[in-house]
Amino acid sequence: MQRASQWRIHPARRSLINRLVRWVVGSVALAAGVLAAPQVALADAAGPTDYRSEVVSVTPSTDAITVTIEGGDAFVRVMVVEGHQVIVLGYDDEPYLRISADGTVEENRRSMATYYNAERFGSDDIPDIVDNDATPEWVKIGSGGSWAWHDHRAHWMEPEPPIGLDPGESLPAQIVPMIVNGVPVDVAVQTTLQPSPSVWPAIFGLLIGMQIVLLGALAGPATSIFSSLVLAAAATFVGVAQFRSLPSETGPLLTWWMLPAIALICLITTILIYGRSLMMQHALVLLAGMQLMLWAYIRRSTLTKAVLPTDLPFWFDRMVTAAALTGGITMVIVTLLAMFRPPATVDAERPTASA
Amino acid sequence: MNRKQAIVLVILVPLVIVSGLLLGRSMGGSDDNSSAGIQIAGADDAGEYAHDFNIPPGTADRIAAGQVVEIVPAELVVKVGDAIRIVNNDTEDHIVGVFFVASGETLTQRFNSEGVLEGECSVHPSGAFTLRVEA
Repeated sequence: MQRASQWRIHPARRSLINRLVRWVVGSVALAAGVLAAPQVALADAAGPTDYRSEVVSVTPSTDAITVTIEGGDAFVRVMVVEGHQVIVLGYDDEPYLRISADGTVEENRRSMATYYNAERFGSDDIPDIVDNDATPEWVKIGSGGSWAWHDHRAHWMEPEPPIGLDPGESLPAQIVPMIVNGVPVDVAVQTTLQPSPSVWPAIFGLLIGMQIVLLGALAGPATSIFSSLVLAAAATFVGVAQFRSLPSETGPLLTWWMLPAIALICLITTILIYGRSLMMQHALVLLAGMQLMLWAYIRRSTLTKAVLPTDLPFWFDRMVTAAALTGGITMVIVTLLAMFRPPATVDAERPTASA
Repeated sequence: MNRKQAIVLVILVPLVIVSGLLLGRSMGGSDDNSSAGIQIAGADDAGEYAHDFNIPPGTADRIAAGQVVEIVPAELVVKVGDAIRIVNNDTEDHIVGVFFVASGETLTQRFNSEGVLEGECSVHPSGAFTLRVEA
């Protein structure tokens, strides 16, 4: 009887809890739906890499364009000053991209590059319509006078580095040809293999993540939830910063920030309902821990790759990712242990619920 | 989990993780290599090479001037156990398939299993180089 009365909740509180639960479940379902839906990725998103590509020359020099590399070595981006026209040539010197004087961005649906550039390592999905010698058929894909694309002349195309290339050495420069206001312009891009990153931010993060949750658990449930919330907030910040670091046409992924954001929402909700339903608290912390674990697991290569697609300091990104990994695992373990501990401990923690 | 167990966990688990990471890092690295499933290794001790390529001085300049340069074939077939050597005497670095040869350096490779290696090539007009290793 004592066990049964332990979960008796006042109707007003139950109503509040139900509303909160519906809100959390709705948020999570919405997030899951968004994640499951096809992302607006025109190309696969930039990921951690061991290379850094740089534009080493633009010949002849021109003020009409600015060419940069985004995501370490993933994308070439051209920004065209209004009033100038640029045509980017494909791998067979066919017209591939056109940025008009009014900023309209179009791609040539007859160019092989249009399809081949859809993926970082080159897409095999080349339709029959492709004919590099055909008259271009321009299709509008953007505006604003800038565009970024996977140009395979600007990065190494194999998962493994070339044999004989040591960190710090560069591959021979390659040319991305363009026509700027009718004048041929060569943009030379050089790709350099980077040294492996220091292992210490990852180790420090692994320890921090675990200690935050464990020490919080030792200090008490409230401290544990709050310390987990700090971890989720840090992970959300890292994810949002990464998402905002890259242009939208590069297809930045919602998962970069949405998973830790869900964890954050769960933990905030846990604080809001604190002391009202222990079972719900456990469920939310468990969900938050799993989200953090999943987020960190998806981006685990940030721990070992030299260059990360973010504007944040790489060591910070690595440290938070590692902390989320062990923090998430520890949250799950600690919560499961708490859920299945003897009832006496539960009663001691929640004296008001058993009254 | 009581407080004592938790404290032990707080101390022990990080120690295990750090030890594992440091051990894994210290054990990394080997002279042997693998690319596209082919077991390859340096062949500095080879007395004879099945194929010996020399990239002469001025190659990059000739390419830049629009001349056709064909120092390696578009496709090279070797046997398991064969070794090749690429000597770069040019002032520029070159890429031959999956091999990078810096200016003034020599790359030697022996192929210990079957397979195909392909990639870009700066010393063939097609811009590509395929190496097929057969039994």
